[in-house]
Amino acid sequence: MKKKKNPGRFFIHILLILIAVICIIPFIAVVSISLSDEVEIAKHGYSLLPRGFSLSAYAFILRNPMKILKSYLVTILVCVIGTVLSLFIMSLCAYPLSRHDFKYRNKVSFIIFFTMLFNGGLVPTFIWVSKYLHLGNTFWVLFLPVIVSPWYLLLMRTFFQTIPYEIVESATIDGATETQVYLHLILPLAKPALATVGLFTILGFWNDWFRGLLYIEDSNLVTLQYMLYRMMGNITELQNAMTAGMMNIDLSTLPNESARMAMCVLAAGPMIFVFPFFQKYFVKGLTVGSVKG
Amino acid sequence: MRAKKARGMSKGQSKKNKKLLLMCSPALIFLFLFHYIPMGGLILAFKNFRYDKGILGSEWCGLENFKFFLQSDNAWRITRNTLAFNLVFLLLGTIFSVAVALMLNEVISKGARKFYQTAMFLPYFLSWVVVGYMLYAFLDQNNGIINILLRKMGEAEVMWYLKPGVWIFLLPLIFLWKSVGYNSVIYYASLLSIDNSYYEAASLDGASAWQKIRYITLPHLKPLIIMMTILGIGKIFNSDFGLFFQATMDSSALYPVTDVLDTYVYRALKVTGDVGMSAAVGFYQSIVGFILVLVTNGIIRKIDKESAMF
Amino acid sequence: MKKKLVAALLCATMALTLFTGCGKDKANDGKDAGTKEGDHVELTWYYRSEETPEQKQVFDKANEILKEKINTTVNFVPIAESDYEQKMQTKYASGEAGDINFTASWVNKYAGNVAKGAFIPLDDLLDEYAPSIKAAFTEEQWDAVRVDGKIYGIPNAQIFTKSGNLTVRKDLAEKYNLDITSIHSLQDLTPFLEKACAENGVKIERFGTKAGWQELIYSYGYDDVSQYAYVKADDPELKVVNPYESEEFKEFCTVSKEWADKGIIANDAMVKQDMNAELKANKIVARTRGVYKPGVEVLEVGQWGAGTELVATMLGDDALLTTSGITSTINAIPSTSKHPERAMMVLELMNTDQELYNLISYGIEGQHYEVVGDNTVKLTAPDKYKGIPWMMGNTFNGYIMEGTPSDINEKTIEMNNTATPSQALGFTFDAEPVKTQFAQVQTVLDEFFPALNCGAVDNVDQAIDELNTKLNEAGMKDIVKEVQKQIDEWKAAK
Repeated sequence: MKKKKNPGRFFIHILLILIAVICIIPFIAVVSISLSDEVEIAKHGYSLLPRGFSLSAYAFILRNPMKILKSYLVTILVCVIGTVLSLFIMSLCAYPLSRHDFKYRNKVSFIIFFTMLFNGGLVPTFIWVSKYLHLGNTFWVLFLPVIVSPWYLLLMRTFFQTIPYEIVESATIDGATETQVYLHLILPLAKPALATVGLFTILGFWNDWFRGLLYIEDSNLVTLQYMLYRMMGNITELQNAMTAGMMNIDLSTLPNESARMAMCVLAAGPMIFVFPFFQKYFVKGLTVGSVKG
Repeated sequence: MRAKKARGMSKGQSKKNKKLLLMCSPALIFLFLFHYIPMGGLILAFKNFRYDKGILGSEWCGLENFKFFLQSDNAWRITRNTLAFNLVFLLLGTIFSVAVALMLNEVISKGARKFYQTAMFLPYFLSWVVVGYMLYAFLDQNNGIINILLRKMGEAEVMWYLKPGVWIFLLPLIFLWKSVGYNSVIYYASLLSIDNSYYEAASLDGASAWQKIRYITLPHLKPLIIMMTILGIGKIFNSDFGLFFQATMDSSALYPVTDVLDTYVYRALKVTGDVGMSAAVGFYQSIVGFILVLVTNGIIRKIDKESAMF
Repeated sequence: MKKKLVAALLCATMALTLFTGCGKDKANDGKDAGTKEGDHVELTWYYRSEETPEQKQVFDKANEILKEKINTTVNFVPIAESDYEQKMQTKYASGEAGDINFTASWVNKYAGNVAKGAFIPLDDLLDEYAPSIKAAFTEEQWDAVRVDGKIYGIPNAQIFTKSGNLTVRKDLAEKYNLDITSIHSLQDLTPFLEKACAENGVKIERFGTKAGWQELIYSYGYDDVSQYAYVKADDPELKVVNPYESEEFKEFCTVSKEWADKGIIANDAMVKQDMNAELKANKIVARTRGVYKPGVEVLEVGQWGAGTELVATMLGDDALLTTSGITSTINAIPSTSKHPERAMMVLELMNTDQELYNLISYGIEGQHYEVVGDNTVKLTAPDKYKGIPWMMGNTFNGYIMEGTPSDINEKTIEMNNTATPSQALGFTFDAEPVKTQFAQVQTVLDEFFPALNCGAVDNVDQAIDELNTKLNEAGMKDIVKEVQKQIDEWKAAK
């Protein structure tokens, strides 16, 4: 199909550029503030360009580089292993659910959906996972409990439904087993769906700090976000403890606002480079091409 | 005829169903292990939880744990705010995300598309704490960028954090800003699977761009939109804590508009930290969401069986 | 069909809960199975601090001492400040809280934990294994940690008193000839603030719910026997009141409004969560807080901008000795501890062995601190190891920090001993019966209190009336009644 130039498309570009700019500006501000001088911020407030150039915020966060590197490693491992496992198990389940001829389709969907609304709550979940499954303070606890996300599973199912059933039917008539159909037909066809859910899953793992907070005490298992979250909290908590008159440290040496922003940059930065990798699969015509071929 | 065929193949069918069920089983096992078993903890909502007596040993206390938010003076206000904002978010969020996905779909240049998508995804990376600070940089009464501008133009400055009315519009704006880029990816990915031949055929028949959207694209997106809406309705009593707490700087003057169930509960329980009471809130949110979803799903089933979720 | 499914799922989960519950109960009994006295035992101590890179070296050294003296090793686990409350709650629930925990009136709250059965009573253990801890506090002070006549926690000796604390920037105090010792109430300060603020572009520290009423209640003579209902510390009848209906509160709010109108309190104060940025930028002239203690003008100077010097004084007539003051830092033994007597021995050692206490508090000499004078140290590597002296034992036993007055410990002890004990000293309120009202009252205060605290109201009387109407609707009267009931019972038992 050949697309003609038309004025409508021009407006679309203008609109999208506008939205993009609105989304980018705060990000630039975050980077600028992270590079600003703390005292300057206190005096003049925020601005879009760095006020006085200082790397002290990064120095403060990175004063312990081994720790950061280790937590990057843990996080990357969790992301990779977690996402691969998660995509495999979820797509394996989503495929049957997308089949109209699967008898238990509604029941299984309901079982999955039910977990989206009801959960046991923090304390019972903690007791179960840590005391009975003995997963507390282990690498596994960082991804096993969330490896099947009901919400992404149902999303995947809906994506799979758009794959024409005729393809499956013709394959089975040719004598392919269900597993073969799933592995050789469905998965390649579902690349955009897998990419979307994969992107969300990896972001979920990347951004998660709460499981770290709950289950992890071993400093070798601290994920990046959890560490940054802790540092973020520590800046204020340090101040709180001191205002309660209990400690004595020169507070003016601690970067506050700029450190927060620097953490944000360190935490989000790598993901921005991961994004294009997934984007590769968002290419128009990919699905259709492979169906026809 | 179809039914006959099905009966004839019933043996093969049951084998096939078993096989398909087997494919589902790993996911189901994980759900059972990490979701269904801890769900027993829901009984905490009806218990006066003591550490030394455990979940089962603690005494039953009826609906005592629900009292603090159901009987509250503010019950009406919290319910209204929670429902109204979530409905607006659901509606605007869907419209804008679909619109952005459609627009991206019209962009031919790969480079431009990548740029737009990446840019719109950025806000998702900023935590609410940081968003709160950013917003504060704009809205601060004395040093905020907007008030400085207003002063320069000779206008009166606005006490943003003391004016609840403004936030009725601000909150949806912030919500859209942060979530549209993320959600549009879902719709965009779905658009990718539309067979180009539909569009080609439509073009040959002389269909306009709008007609193509109306008769090809939107029907294709329908199942996805329906599913997202049902899921959204299930969460209608849960609100994004970060948005209502961090972005508003927890300003007490804004509570008449910005106080939602989650922020109210947070404030109410921060002193006592009661496990049973927070379990009660979770239970209430789940039950309301559950009923609403069953009703919605039932209605959709009546109208269009294929689109229903279960 | 769907109904059946739901029912089946619920049954399954219920069944599993039963199983979980039984298992849990079993795990709770059978303390100390198999270990005899004298055997080596490993304990776990959870406390609220940041992890530091060289902590293991310090803990290893401490364990050498502990192993040698009582054949025990302690696994010290600092939990980040921001997570402490949350983590401990889940640990108590799952019975994995180790053997020694930090708890306090303000975080991981002592009274609530005791009410929910998190800790064991220590009376017998104290007598048997910790005679010097037992002797270190007066009966009055022990009363503060007693709940229903039993001791559930050991306070860490430090400043116990509560009183209004006022600190003022020294340069501005001198510029306007302010004699800080002549200031006894907020009103006294108004003429100075008026001039200082107008001419120097500075404000007093006041924000949200902080740096105001709730920290100054002691200077008005109140003892916060419960979070929301107070008694007058010198009232022998112990009549419980709603402080927001009091003359003092009205007086406070009136001053606040006057200050706000005169630009002494920032116009956006009620929106702020802290004023640390302003402090650092030297935009604050004075602040009020809830604890006056010797050397406070030196101890707090680090929170202000570089180069600032401070003068300080106590507001109100007297420092008060209250339950909340003594319980501001405690160590307790959780009810699931397998070796409570060993835990008590560790605590005894921590409170008596100076070498051990200083090691945990300040690190290794030469590596983390150096001795700069008689019993005075200077931290040289706070980024490598940072202990928290006031959380681990008797602070009067350890080194003092460079820059603080050399007699700071003596003065603090004297202040503890001479402060007026509140009539309600020793009373601990159990909030369980009114927890619904607590929750609701808190939300009312969140909404209506900041404006009053920061003077951002049009009419003080009207605003106070509105606050009290809402408070009463939320159950303030029930709280007052319940506190009165418990305090009467407590008094009768005494």
